[in-house]
Amino acid sequence: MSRRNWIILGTAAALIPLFALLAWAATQQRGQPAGAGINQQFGEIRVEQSPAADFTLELINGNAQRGDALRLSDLRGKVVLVDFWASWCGPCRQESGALNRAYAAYQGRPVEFIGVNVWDTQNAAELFLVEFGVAYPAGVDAGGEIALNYGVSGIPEKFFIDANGVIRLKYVGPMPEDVLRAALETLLAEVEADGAGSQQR
Amino acid sequence: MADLGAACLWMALALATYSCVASVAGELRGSPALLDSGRKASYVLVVVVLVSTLSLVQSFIARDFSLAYVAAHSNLAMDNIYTWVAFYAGNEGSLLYIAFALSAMAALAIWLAPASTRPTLPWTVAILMLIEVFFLAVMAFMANPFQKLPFPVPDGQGINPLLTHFGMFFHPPALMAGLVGISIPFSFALGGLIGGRAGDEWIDAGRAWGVGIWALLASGLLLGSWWAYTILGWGGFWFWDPVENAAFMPWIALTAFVHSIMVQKRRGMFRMWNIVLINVAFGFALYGMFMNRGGPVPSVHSFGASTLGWVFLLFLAFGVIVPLAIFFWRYDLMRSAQRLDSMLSREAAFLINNLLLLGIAFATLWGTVYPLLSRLFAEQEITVARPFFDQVNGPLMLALVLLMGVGPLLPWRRANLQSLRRALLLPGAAALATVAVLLAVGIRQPYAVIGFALCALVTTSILAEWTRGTISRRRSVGDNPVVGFVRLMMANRPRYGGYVVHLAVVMVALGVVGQSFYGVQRDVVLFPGEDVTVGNYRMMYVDTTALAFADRTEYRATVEVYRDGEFLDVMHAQRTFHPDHNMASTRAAIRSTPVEDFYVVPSENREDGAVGFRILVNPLVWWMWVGGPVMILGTVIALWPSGAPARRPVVAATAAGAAD
Repeated sequence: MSRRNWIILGTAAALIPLFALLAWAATQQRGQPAGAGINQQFGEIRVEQSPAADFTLELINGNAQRGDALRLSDLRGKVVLVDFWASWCGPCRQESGALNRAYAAYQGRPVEFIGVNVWDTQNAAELFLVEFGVAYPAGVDAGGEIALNYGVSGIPEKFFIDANGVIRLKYVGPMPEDVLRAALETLLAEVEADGAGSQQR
Repeated sequence: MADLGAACLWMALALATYSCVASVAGELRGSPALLDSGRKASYVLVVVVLVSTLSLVQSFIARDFSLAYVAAHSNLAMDNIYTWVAFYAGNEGSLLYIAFALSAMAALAIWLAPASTRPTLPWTVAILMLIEVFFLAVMAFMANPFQKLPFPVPDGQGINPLLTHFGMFFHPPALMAGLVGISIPFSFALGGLIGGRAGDEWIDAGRAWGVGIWALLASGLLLGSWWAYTILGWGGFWFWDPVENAAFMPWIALTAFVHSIMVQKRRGMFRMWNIVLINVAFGFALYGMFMNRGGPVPSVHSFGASTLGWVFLLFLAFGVIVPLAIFFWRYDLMRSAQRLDSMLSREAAFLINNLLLLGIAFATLWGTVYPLLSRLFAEQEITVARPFFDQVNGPLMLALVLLMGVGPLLPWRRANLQSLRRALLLPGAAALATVAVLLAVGIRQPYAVIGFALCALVTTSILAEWTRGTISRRRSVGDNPVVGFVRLMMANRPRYGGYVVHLAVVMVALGVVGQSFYGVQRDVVLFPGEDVTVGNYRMMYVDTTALAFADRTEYRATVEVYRDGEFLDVMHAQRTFHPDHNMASTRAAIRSTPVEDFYVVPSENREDGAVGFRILVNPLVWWMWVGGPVMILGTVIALWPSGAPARRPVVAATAAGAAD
């Protein structure tokens, strides 16, 4: 074999494994390497309509006593908004007003909000809840397991779960109040239509 | 404004594509008109990309939060001056910056292309424009900086507080421009190869651009170290972070290139080797961009999780494999005119220098790839940290410094041992004297002793050569020493400019050796009025004042510093908490002298009023930062054009090189 061919063979022998390794590594995108985990993109994300993973959250706000907890599956029949947030997250602060207003407006209808605090300290989370007067149940996902099960990629991130416990919508970034209300109305219409239907029967 | 920018982006993509296609078609069909239009399109491109760039700048100044990019990287509280930094703080904006830098450098390179490269210039244009098309297309289709938000937000997320530092104004843009700038010497080489002129035609342009880009990367790396030293608050300046390595490897490969290209220029040797080297440098640059954007290794530098990883990986593969295929296709054209005469010659010294540099580059590559391998085979990630790089690269670098002292003393072709011995007498004596003095004052660390001795050797050999040259000018022409020295430098700019750069490298080496082996570090917690002694220094903590701002709280700690019992200075070190980012940034107080730095940074403010301090005494680090400007000076001397008419500076510069 000529010298040239040897060089070709040697280069290929070095490069092919290197590229294979890099390609493999590129499929292994991991976690949050940079930034503070704040979502850089905004908007609705299409999700597969899959049953929402159940979780139990120890509550830390309102009149919650030590050990009071909330189970997602207990909320069947209601439209549930699960919001992932942290006290240090700028957009979360920004949208907390809109969330509070919407929550107050939907009192008395089959709707529940749950604030899941991630990547934070409990102390800071409690201060945030007091500062913004958050009325809906909130708790700390200390190990980040809930966020992991929901595939949270950054915060704020919201999941809309319908009355049957199916994730219908995922929204990334701060959500304007009108968009939030529109999403709730869509899901509520289903519940209320269902409710009306079963009464007739 | 933003719409204009978005439109210009598409126009730029069309122009770059046209320029590339017209250059290839014009060359294949032999149509000068087509070639001409292709070349001119590359000039117009600069204007179009510039308009796009300015319109993003304008959107930042106007805080146009309807743009996702502006909303994500600025807020109302941000000073306008930081627009410069916010512009490239994220993926999209930095790509736009890179596209602009490349278009400007490419246009300049095409306009100034020396006559020898003219016959194959269309290929060079086509390659440069193909690279430009890549960046523009990624922006247009995947990461558009002019992407609108679905709804307006009242305020943006703000700039990462770590980026609001003077060093950030130059370090990232210098590195990004430097990495993409390697395309230019690379395109001259590859264009020549495609056009069947793989001899010496491309080397003048290749050398000029290679040296310029080398200096750009070097300043970027040094400024990055300086930034890390003053703001990251751990008291060091280099961490072998995967992304630092990504910029370091191409720079090392380019260092090898700017040396070995001289051998081709003077002796017509290493033709194939130089093309390999510039390909390797380009490949490393692409690898660096891949690591930066959605690369697989987390690092403080990366742009966050992004889907661009695959695109850049494909670009890397394309940019390595296609040039290699062309290289093997033209393999027989690259025979060198000369062969190596002797292993004791300057050519051989350059060859060893190249091998050492490539050794460093590939060892570093191994260090960045190994964690991935371990993740694949051991199912757990084993990070290769500082010790690996220090142990492998440390000795290689010391060998390089030695070569820096000996290599320039060797004549071309063949040295005889006697003359070498004579030339080495003085530098060798200086090195031995240094060893003796160091051992006498109690410095025993072998690496440090060898390092300092080699620094003395290099410095002496350079100074001796300057002195000899100046004296001989005085004897022969009668110049006074100052004029004689300047004329000596001007007579052989590539060589003497190179010496100045070597001196700068010695300065950097002093800092690295001093800090690595004799840096003292202590972490203490002090209440106001308490003091601590570190080395010869005694530091008393006076108090802390807190200043609240809308987006941050600054804690300014005041300390008094005494050395050997004598009052020295009052210093202020700062720690700032940014609640929006849940992040603290620090600004160290540094009292810097050529002998040593006294460095103090507050690491925590406790509720009971005590403050945690990190205190360091870092010998000789001052020299490192002085080395930067000296290195730039050397580069300018090496590239300075001769007195010939300066209409085409690159031609002029190379004429000067050819004359000596």
